[in-house]
This record gives sequence, C-alpha cells and structure tokens, in this order.
Amino acid sequence: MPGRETNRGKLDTDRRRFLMGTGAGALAVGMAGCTGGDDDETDTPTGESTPTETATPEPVDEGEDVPRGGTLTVGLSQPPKGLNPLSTSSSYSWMILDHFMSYGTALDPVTYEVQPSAYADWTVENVESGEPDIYFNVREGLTFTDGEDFGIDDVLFSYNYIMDQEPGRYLSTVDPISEASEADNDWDVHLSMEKPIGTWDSSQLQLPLLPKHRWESVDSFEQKTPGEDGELVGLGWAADLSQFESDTSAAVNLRNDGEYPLTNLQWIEDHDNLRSGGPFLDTIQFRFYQSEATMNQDLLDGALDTYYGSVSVSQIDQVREDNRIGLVQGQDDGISYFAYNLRRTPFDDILFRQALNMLWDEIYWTQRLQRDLVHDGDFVLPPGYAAIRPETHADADLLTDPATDAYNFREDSPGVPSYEGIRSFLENGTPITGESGTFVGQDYPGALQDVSASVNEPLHDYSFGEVKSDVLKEEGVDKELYVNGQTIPEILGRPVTYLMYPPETSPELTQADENWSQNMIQLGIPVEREVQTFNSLIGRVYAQEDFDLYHMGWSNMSAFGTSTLYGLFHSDNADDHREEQTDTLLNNPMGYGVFDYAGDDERISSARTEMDSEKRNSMVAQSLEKIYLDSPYMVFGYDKVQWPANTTDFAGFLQGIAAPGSSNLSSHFYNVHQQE
Amino acid sequence: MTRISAKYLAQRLIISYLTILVIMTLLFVLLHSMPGSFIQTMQSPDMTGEQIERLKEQWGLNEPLWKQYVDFMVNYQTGEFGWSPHWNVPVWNLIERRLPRTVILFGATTITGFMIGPLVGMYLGWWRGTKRDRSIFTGGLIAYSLPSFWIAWLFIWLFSFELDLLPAKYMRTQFPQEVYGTGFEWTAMMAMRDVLWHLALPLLSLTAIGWVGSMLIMRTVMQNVTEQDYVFLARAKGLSERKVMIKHAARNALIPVATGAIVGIAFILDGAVVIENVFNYPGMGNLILDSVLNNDHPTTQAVFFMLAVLLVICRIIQDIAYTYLDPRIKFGEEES
Repeated sequence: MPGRETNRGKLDTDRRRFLMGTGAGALAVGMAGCTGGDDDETDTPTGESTPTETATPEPVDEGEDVPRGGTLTVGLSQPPKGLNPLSTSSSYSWMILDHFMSYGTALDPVTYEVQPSAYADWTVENVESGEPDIYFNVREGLTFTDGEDFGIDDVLFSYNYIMDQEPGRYLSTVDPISEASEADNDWDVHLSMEKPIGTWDSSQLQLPLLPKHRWESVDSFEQKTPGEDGELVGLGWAADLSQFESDTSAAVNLRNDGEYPLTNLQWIEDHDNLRSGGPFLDTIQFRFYQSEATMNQDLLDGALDTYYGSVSVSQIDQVREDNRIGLVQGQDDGISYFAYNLRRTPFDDILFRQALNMLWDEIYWTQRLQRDLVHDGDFVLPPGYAAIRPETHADADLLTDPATDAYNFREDSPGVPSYEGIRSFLENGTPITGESGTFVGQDYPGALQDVSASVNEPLHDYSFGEVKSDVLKEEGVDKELYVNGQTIPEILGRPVTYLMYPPETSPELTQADENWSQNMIQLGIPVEREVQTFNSLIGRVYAQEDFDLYHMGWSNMSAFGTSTLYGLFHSDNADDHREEQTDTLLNNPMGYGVFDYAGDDERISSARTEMDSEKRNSMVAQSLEKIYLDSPYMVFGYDKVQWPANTTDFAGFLQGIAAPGSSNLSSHFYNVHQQE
Repeated sequence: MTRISAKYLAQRLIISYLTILVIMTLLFVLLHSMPGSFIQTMQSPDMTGEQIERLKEQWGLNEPLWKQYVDFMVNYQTGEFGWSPHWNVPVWNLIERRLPRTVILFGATTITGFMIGPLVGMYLGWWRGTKRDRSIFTGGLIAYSLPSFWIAWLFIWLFSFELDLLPAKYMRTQFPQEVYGTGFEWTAMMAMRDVLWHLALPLLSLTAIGWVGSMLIMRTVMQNVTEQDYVFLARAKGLSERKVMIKHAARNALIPVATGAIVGIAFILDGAVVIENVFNYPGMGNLILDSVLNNDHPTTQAVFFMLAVLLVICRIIQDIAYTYLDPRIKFGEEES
C-alpha cells in the first residue's frame, strides 16, 4: 500500500512514512473490548497458490439491501500534493487517488491479510534458488474508470514502465524484479526476482496498475499531472474526478451498482463488518484546509461529515457534545517514543536506558495529560498490528501482560519516583534481560518468547556521590550519578541534552518532558532541555546523529514488521561513526545494530527474506521483544483512536480497525452508506 | 519632462541585476547549508544506500556543489524554477496559480488602506492637536499595535461564527451545487460576487490595521506642509480652507505616501503568510509556509527569489515615481 502521512499536525506529517508496502500479511487481531476483530484467521501461506477466483464474481445480495446514493463530505487538513500515483506519497493525495487505484492484491483492513483483488491468484516458486519466480493470474472483466477494459497488457505495461522509470517511491519495490513478462505456463504473468522478498505479495503485487492507453505516450512519469490536466484514470471504484481545485476542494463520483466487481469478492463477503457490493455513495467531496482547528470547526458546523485523522484531546469534549457526530473507535497505527543515542556513554548501556525508562511517569502522561485517550506504550509496533506483536505469539493479553510492563514508572508515592530503588538498580548492575525477577520492587515474569537482551551485563559501573554539576546544585539535589567514577558532564563535556519541540507545538508532551527531566535531575542525572524546530531536529538527529536523547512525537508505523524493523533498527540504516560520519539521512539514528551491545541484525535480515508468513511474523515478534529489552527506543504511548464521523446520516463505519480515520480511511469509501 | 537620465536608469538596472544575482547566491547558500536534503521526503525506510544515491542522481543532488550553483543561476535567469518535490508539479505552476490570488486579496487591501489612510491622515494633520485628532490618532496607534492574526480571529468569531454573515475561509464557494442547487453553473457576475463575499472578511481584517501606516505618514507630512509658504500664499489668495487643504497641502504631502505604497507592494507576501493561514486562503503566503515546513527547497527558493525581484523592481519604480511626483528631484542629471 502507498505511504501515508499522519494527521497529527504538520510536525508529524511527511516524515516517517512507514506504510510503504513492502511487508507481509500480518494478522491483526481485534483487541479485547473492541469490535472489528476477525476470528476467522485464514492466513495465506506464502509459497502455495492462493484460493482461486478466476472469474469476476456476480454481485451478492448483501449490497442490494444497502441504501444507495448520497454525498459524504470529508475534510483534509492539508491539500493533496499532486495526483500522480507514481510520484506522490502524500496521504492527502492518496485519499483521492485511492478511489482510482486498485492493486493486484489488497490488504484486508480488518485483519491485514493479503487478499485477492485485480489478481485472482498467485504463487511463488524456486524460493530455494535465491531467485524466486512469482506467477499470478489477472482477473477478467475489470474496466478502468474511463470504461476501457483492463487486461494483462496493462499489467505488463505497468511493471515495465515503473521498472524503466524508477520513480523514487517504488524504487525499493521494483529493484528486486529482474523481469516482468507473460508467463509461458498456465499463469498469466511471470515476475523473475533477483532475490527473495518476504513480503512480495503485498509489495511486488501492489504496484499501481496503470492504464496503458493513457500512459504509454508519457515519456517521463513526472510529466504526468493527473487532476491538473483534467484526467485521472485508474482501476478503482471511482467513476470520475468531477471537481479538482488542487488547493481547496475535490469531488469524486463513484461507480454505480455492480460497476466495481472488486467489492464483491469472497473475502469481503465473508467479513461481518465489511459490506460487499459497494460503493454505495454517489459522491465523495473533499474540502482542503490549512489548519486542523478550522477543519474541526467545520465538522461541528455541519459542513463536513468526517475528516482525515482523529480527534485530539483538546477537541474531544466539543465533538462528544455534538449529537450528529459519533466517534469510531480504532487502534493506533503508530507510536510515540523517545530514542537514545547508543554511541554515547552512558546511553550505550542497557542498564542506564532501562533506569531512564523507569523514571517516565506513564500515569501522569496517559491519565492526567492525555485524559486516558492513550495506551501506555511498550513494543515498537502498535497494538493495531497485533499479529506481529509478542503477546499474540505467546498467547498473552495485548498491552496488559506483565511482560509488557517491565519499565513501569517505579514510584514511592503517586508521582514521586522511587529514587533510592532506581539508584540501587543502577548500582547493583542487573539489567532486565528477559529472565524473570524483581526489579525496583516490581516483579517481571520474564520474556514472552525465547529471547533475551543483547547483553546481560552493564557496560559501566554506577555510583552516586557528591554533587558537582551546576544543574543539580541549582535544583538542590543531594546526590549525583557517577559513571565509572566520572560525572556525566565530565564524560560528555556538558549535561545530558534532551532535544524537544517548541512547547507550543505540543503543550502536553512538553509537560511530560518537564516531568521526566525533573525526575532524572532528582535522581542525580544533570539534564538540560534544548528546544529544536522540527526541521532542525531532523538534521541534528537523522543527518548528524548529534543527540543524547530526543522525541519525535508520533510516528506512523508499517503494518509489516519487516520493513519497520529493517528501516529503524538494522545497522544498514545507521551511520557508523567509527568509520565515517556522513550527512545521509538514515532512519536508525540510535545506531542500533552497529554495536555488539545492542542489535538484532541477523534476525531482522532473515525476517525480510522469509517467505513463510507465519515464520516471518514470529521472527518479527521476537525482534520486537528483544528491542524492547535493549531499549534503544522508549515507546511511551499508542493513541486510542477516536475518529469523528456523521453517524446520524451515514452508517457502515469500520469499528476497531487500525487507523480508521487515516491509513484505513479509504476502506470506508466503499463501505459507508446512507442510514436506512 | 523626463527627470531621470538614460544613463542613470541603465546604471540602476545593472546594479539591480547584480543585486538579484547576489540575492540568488545567498538563497542558494542558505538553503544548501540547511541540514539534510529535500529528498528525505521521498525516502522510504527500506531503501538501500544505493537506491538513495539514485534518487539523489534523479534530482541532480549528486553533482558537485559548484555545478548545482551554476545550473541554479542559469535556470533561474531563463525562468526555469524546477520541480516541486512536495507538490509534484513544476514550481512555476504553483506560483502561477497562487500569485494572482494573493495579488487580489492584498492588492485590494493595499488600495483600500491607501484610500482610507491618507484621507484620514490629511484631516488629522490639518486639524492636528484637536480632540478628534488625538482620539483617532490614538485609536489608529492601538490598531496598528495589534497583531493582524488576532484581529482576524476576532472578526471571524464575530462575523462568521456569531453573526453568520461572512465566510471565513477559501476564495469562493467550493461546492456551489450544495448552496445554489443541482445544475448550477457559474456566470461571471456570480463568480465575482462570490469572490467579493469571500474576500470581505480577510479584507476587513487587513484594512482594520492596514490604513494606519499611511495615515501616520500623511498626518506628519501634512503638519509640515501646513507651515509652507505656498499654503500661506493659497490662503492669502482667499481660497477656501477645504480647497487649500486638498489642492495645495495634501497634494504635496502625498509624495512620501505614494512612494511608500510602491515599496509596500513588495511586502505583500510578507503579510500573506499569517493572514492566508488564518483564512485558509490558498495564496503565496500559504505556499511559503508549506514549502518551508516541508523542506521543499525548489519552491522555497523560487518564492523568495520572486520576492527579491519584486522588491528590486519596486525600488526602481519608486525612484522613477519620485522624479515625476516631486519636480525638485532629478536623477542622473549633470549638476550645473
């Protein structure tokens, strides 16, 4: 699936697009208390042919009962950034493009299984050779939105065009394909791969399918500006783009009953909460805004039926009071986290990082500042992607199993950390490595899976003594932390520097930052906070890796663990300062995997090329737990997504799925219908 | 009639051209000294180093810096502003689309402000020291000190939310069929009326502050002018007070106001950044903000370049205008 932005304000957008579909069909299981989870998990074992639906199915009865017609008006807090499917990665663009784009395979929005779409079935052979062959059949009877027939020629054209043009957005997807040709066996199309890609069915089979008759005369993909030049044609459920003013609004007319057979597929029909036979609406209108406040006001004023994103803490009361609007509950598809620079002492030490984690007051954050609209965080992939979370592989309760609470706030009394306990934890030198035990007064049952931290001994000796640092003296602290006999300013030449956003961009997070840094100071760690704008922060962190610890607010994560883990935690994506410091922006600024004392390169690499989805998901889950124990990140929250929608006039919203109002908003466009 | 010599004009144009080259160089240096690169917005986490290099190659970022600089200087001077990585369209398309909107809003504001300000300034300067002068002058100063976005919010709250009289966003009705019924088609007159209706609130907000600047200049100059000999002479000729004020005093006092207005045009983009964001108005101000926040260097570069060129051109026009408005000023003539 295409990369998506988030809608958590401009700071979070455009930066961490981890929904690039290069992963496998992870099976997300609905969380307890939420609807939408599908109990009938039907994983698709890779390497075998998928269930075949070669013919286009007839419309099913289900859709016939659903009222048809109506216009849904959706707000986008930013205008789309072009409508060229080969170049734009803006989620705001894809909100419109999704209507025109169906892929070879589809991701089930509820279970995250890979399901048939424009390709009826597929298989992979010769995996052992290291150069697998992918075969698939192209579904018959489909038409593009301009009424022209879709066929094998279009598929071959699309692959070869994208391989030839190499648009940056799809570079990593087409790079492993050496050839796309008509198959010389019973299959329609043959993709020759240069190397195994574990998530091939959701990456190589999800390239945009371009209408050959519209694109074959386009010499360079960048020249094409669909929407701007009045034409946007694809394979989706849209009929046409009836209005497009790139800075203010757009309107998409949808196909009539039975004109879009891909919502009549068996997997959709089998779902309790997906409607087959859609789309049911006549038109989807989009209004583009420059600010979320204005957009929210328009929702309350009735000018919008819903918007891209979810309701923030500051707006939720107003939305709850509005009788027209209902809140669709969903799971987060991202995480809020801090990251440590593993190149620097004492952040290179697991024990020190774990001690810092224990000073984070999650009760203050989740209940007081976020009014219980967030879950306390743990693993680096959110609960929305449950199939690859460790709890799922250990038959444990999602988010609440004690093994997910290893770094709970250790407090003596509400809000007051157990300073003596954490000091002893540092002085005793026994980190949480996956073995069961009692750590700072709390029992840890041991790792959920057969994994342990990268090291079981601390790298440094810790003690507490006379206060030398000015920061601590000013705060009247009685003890200072010594690492191998030196204070931190003696090691770093300055106090620990904590990079943070300007307070106005996230007042609640700033309060939490203040609380955490105060806890560190009171423990005996001299800390100074340094405010950075987002762009400066990007440079300091990702280009120069010049930081001790930083937070990036909220980041969108891929449903496919392999790409997230490789992108964020593999040494391939870290600048190894021991050899050379480059200014290349790499996604692993912590340096996880670069050093012997923290990394999981081997397992992450194996998972990437593992073509059996069950094994792959298990490997991802193990990596997640190992990363949790190693703590290069401290994940401090997952949002309890509350997506506002006009439930008075419309129905068919999908409850309980990951990111219902953002990454999965498009799924609603063919499910939502007028109330009966 | 010409009070500016061809030689002076030629010199002025050459200096202006060189100024633009210096500004372009500074722009290039500033944007290239920012950490990171705009291709980060196109990177996906699973891209290999080789793939990232290929991406850089596609955007010409692997070329030596001097070559990038030469390309930039040549391209800009031939009107080639490149491609926006953020908006995925040629940068010129963005400017072409957005500039007229900003010109309409801020042009209207400038005209309104410079119609009201000098008129009020004329009266206050003429009747300086009176109770009316003091109260309007103080009120104007207070308005001048208020942030434009705050006034804008206040007006949005009052005229849009409370009274529901005026729209607070966009430049025209987005889905007219919803408002005017199915099958609605725009006519030129309706479109104009709709645009004016949408412009009313931002225009009101901007004018509430915008008139004060020219009023202050006019008031001060008027006071000086009232003590000039030609004003005494006009009075001595028995002309009415109103005629002396308007025809003899105000006409001369207008010179600094008019030249100030010319340079004021160049600062249109400056004010647009805040107000366009408040009113969801898709103009150049929003484009600047978006391109800066999203590391869209080609667009940022082009917008600031245009701003610089506009300023330089306005300065030349200002010099020329001076010579026409004030017969005492001559540029480039030999001293006798």
